[in-house]
Amino acid sequence: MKEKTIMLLHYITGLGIIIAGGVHLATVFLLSQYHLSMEFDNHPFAVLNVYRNVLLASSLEALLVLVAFHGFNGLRVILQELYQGKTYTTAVNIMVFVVAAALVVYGTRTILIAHQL
Amino acid sequence: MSLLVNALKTWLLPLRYGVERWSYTLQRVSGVAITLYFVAHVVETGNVVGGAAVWSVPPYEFAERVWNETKTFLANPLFDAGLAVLAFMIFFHTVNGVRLFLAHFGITLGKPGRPEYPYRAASMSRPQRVLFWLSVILAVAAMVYAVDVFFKVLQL
Repeated sequence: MKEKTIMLLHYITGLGIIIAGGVHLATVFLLSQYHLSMEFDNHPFAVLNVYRNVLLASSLEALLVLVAFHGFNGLRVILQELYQGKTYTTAVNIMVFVVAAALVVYGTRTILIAHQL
Repeated sequence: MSLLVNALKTWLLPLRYGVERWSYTLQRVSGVAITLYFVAHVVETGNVVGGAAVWSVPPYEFAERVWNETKTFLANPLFDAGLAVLAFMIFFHTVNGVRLFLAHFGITLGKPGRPEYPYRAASMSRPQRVLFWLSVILAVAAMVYAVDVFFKVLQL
């Protein structure tokens, strides 16, 4: 993928995070008291109930994918600014992609299982 | 190695430079910190279902026990203080990110001019400066709110 396309995606994911992150912060801090949001179950915005709700679980999945892209692409850009070289650049690109993909898989697993609990 | 140290020094110490350099450093430091928190948060919330070893729906009681153990482990002032600092970083990174987004697409930028003493960055137009300071103000407000939520200091 071209760097200019990646940078455009960086901005788009950033704007997406404002929406998905806003929903996440609102469910934890604004729609319920924080200590109740941290309960496992038996409260409308308790942890499990957020995962059981299809819309909220979808917003968490969106947040996961968006932050994984935005955060690790940001990290990639910073690492490439610190040092330049063909092998180094390729190694950073691969490493960052693998870690981001692993996190998305692990986080998606959590969302899917918690949705069924 | 010295190349890396020099790169890190110029990156992390904006003391001799203007507000745009502070914005650059803060944006990157907060971005790295938020990404590291994101990794920890994905791992931590994995405990809602019982941890990394679980890849199918576990017994409810097992998942509940692991979640409560995680909550007990995280319930200390050090983690709470860390979250308050993180609230500052998230709000700064978000609002300053919007400023950078606008600048990247040429919105809110001033007219280009000849470089004249004291060589103020042309990109730091008045709206851009306002957005930078707004990001600082909102970040401080978010941190105060987080401190109140976690430490019950102000009872807002």
